[in-house]
Amino acid sequence: MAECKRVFRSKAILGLLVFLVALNVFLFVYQCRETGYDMGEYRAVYLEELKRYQAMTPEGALADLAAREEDAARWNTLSAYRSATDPWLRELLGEQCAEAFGPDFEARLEAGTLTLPEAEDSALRQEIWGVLREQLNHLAEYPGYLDTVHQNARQMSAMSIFYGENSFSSRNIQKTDGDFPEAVEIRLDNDLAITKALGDNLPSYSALVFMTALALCFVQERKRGLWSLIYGSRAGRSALALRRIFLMLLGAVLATVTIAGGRLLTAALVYGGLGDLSRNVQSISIFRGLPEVMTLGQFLLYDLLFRIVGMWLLGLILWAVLQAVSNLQLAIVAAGLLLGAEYAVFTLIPDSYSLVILRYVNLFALVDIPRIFLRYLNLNLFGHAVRGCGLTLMLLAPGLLGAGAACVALQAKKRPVSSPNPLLRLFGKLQKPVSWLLGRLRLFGLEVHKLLWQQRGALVLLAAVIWMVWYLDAPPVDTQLYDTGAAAYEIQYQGLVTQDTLDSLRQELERLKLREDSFGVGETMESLTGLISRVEGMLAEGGDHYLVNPVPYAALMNANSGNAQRSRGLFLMLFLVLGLSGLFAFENQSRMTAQLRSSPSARRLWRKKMTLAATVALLLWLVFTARELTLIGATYSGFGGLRAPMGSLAMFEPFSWALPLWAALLGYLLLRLLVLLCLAMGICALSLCCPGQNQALLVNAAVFLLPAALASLGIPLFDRISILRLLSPMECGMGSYILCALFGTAALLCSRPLWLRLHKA
Amino acid sequence: MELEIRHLSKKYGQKQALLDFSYCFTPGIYAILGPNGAGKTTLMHLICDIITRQEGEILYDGQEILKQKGAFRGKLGFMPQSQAMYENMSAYGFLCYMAQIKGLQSREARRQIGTLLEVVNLADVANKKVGGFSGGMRQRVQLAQALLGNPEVLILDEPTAGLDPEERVRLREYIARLGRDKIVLITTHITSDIETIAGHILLMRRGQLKEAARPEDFLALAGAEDLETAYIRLLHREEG
Repeated sequence: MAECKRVFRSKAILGLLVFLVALNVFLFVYQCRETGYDMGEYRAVYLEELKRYQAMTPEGALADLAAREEDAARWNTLSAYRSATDPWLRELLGEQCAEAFGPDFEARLEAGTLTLPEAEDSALRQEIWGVLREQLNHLAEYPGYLDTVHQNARQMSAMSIFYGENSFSSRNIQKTDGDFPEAVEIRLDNDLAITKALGDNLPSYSALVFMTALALCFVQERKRGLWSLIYGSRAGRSALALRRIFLMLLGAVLATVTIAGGRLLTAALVYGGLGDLSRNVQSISIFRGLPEVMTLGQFLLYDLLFRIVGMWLLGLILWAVLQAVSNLQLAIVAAGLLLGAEYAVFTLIPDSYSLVILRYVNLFALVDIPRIFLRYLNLNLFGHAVRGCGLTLMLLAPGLLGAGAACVALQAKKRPVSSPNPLLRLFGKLQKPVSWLLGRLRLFGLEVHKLLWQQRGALVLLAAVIWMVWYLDAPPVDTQLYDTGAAAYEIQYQGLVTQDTLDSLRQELERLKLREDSFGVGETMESLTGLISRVEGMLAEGGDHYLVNPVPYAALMNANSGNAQRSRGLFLMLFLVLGLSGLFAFENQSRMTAQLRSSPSARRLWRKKMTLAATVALLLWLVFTARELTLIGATYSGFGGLRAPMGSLAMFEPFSWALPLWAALLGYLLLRLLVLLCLAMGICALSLCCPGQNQALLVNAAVFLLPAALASLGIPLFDRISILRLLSPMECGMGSYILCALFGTAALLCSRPLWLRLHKA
Repeated sequence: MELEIRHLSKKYGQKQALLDFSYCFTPGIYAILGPNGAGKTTLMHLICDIITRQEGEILYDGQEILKQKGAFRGKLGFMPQSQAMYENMSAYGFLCYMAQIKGLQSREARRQIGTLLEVVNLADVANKKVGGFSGGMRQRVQLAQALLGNPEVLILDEPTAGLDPEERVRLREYIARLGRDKIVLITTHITSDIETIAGHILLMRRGQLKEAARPEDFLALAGAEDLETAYIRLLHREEG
């Protein structure tokens, strides 16, 4: 009971669980919002359309859907016809409209007898039709799919190359034929929540993180010097191990129910329930590869049980590995290597390889449930066909027994004091060059060393680099805001506008006129004509005017197009908070303040630390900016016309400053830097008030990251109060930046007396 | 070289930790004795300017230490009672960091660290993390950091706690050598540690300085033959 209280009342464990549940819910809602529609409206329209088609057969529903989609397409054509300005395009659309609505459609349109319907042609409804069409297609095709499976089995049985006596091929065919049912009763229902909730493995990976933390919690006694005390006590060996095995099970239940259950509940709330739980799972397209006929309710129950048992086993294996190595840091490295190797094996071996068995006898088989259970694959086990997931299930019980026994044996037999192993000796040798380097560093360099290695800043740095290199892509551009037809000519004739530019553009127009009848040329000609008019206006006005390709500028400086500004800003804030939260709190945690205070340079240390915080913010900004500019350059062509005045771009029309574009670009980027610097100062000021790194991280996350995360979900209140919005300067006025600078300065000024005060008891 | 304390007082809330403490320290070894809560550590922290005082002055060579700021702290070596260190740093790395905090040049810092690691008998484990050190080893690392920069005033709060007898003798001899040209203030409960090396003994109780004398005078005052008996007798006399 005492151990249970120690583990489950630990702030770190509880905090981690709350964080993981919140992260799963947040990311689920965030992904749902990426459709761009209001979720309430989406759910209402989906349920309305679902109700309509539930009463029909899949074939009848598909026919009705096709008719409605065709109808909507006609109305879309009419809508496009009404808004088209290009004569060639208008003529083409007019012909299509005449075909769809009759030759007198224009007269009826003018008379008001032909009006565009509001609901039927809405983009949301059409998107939901697409979702329903996929569901209905599955329902219509599934019986045929089962027939094909059995038919293939019969056909292949007749072919000698597949049906050698006692061969794996013949057994595989027989097993596949036997496993899949002849027919399953399936029906249309609300599949969205289940499909989305099981769509990714984030809950399983989150639970894995929790189980790792739990395993680490069980070996904490080594770090705190309590190992000998516990090992020497009466109940400190096998009895404690047995209790911990039970606690690991409790942890697995807790993690699975809260994280996976929380996500399922969120999905049900977002998408209006899970549908009828008594329908067969084969009614949902993601379960096509599952041959066992069971209801959705049964599947969810089995899924829950498997997740719990799987996480329990994973936790025990990780705990056993951590126990097996005496040095805690080396143990963590060993556990990390094991997980890395298992993941590589799990993901890299293709289905066709005989080694694919290693995918099913793998730690990640307990994590990636869709890959193991929702894909049908028989393994060749000494000539016998064995279901991959069946093998995983078969190994669960022996795995639990083995891991449990190993945990008990290690807890009982692994002694607190033993001679250093070769790995530790090697580790010791590696310390010599580190010491040599430390002896040559100045105070700032030593502070950098502390931030990177003592406070785990290197991990944050690595995560930031991985994000920037692999996950960051060029920001999207709202193509409705600029003329794509003209952009190509603006790139070609980018620069100072002269009479030659006008002549060249006119020649381009003449060339286009020669192939006026080709598809799309009319629209391009219209764009080019508009551009020529603009150039003529510029020349008539006199002075220096420039043609500039607006696309890269629009990509970089858009007003949160596609939520890109918010998501990038959120990541930048996350890295700063993770990297800098412990900067001052670490000194409090290490109880070093008395010694620092009594040293002559201790007060100078404040300056060094603040400089370091600013340097980290500057570096993050520099690398991010360089990466973003490179990506934009590669995707949308480079930033041209940098010497052109700001007014050359429509997006800068509200500004009356006579500045070149490079200055505007620089100003934009510097405003972002200002925000990051102010944020770094704020993080440091809060870090000073916290007794430890974890507390500082929590406080900074609550003050800066939580409002930012809610702002990125589009909640207006948080969008206004969070610093996140300021990382998108086109959306904010200068007043906001003055306030931000004042906040940063105040944080900087407050931090010095805080540093000095905290050292005085 | 003179450290003069005049009417120094410190309160923690309602608790009077130090009351009207006055004394003048010149080069030599001063042992500050007293029961728990006597105000020894408070006195040390006030000299190091780690905590704020309510009243009084601390003068070094006639000048208030608060006015000297970093210059005074540059002449100060402090070994705190707590064994606080950066657990994941090696002993060498920790000493490098403290040398930089004390403003030593890298080359000089390396020279001093090398010498001090030999003195405190930790050269063999210099590259090991202090997190894995025993209490005695941590104590020696702390002593080494206090000695960095060759300070004129050395403040050692329980320096021999956790050391084995051999290390204690070794350390005692080293401190005795230091006391020739430095002001060394030692607080300890182990009277045998200071019996042979202390030039002056200060007895504190409830935040006040009760006795200050040379060891032989201290023994005579208590009518005892050893320091431990003298300390206990004088404390009981104060209580009586």
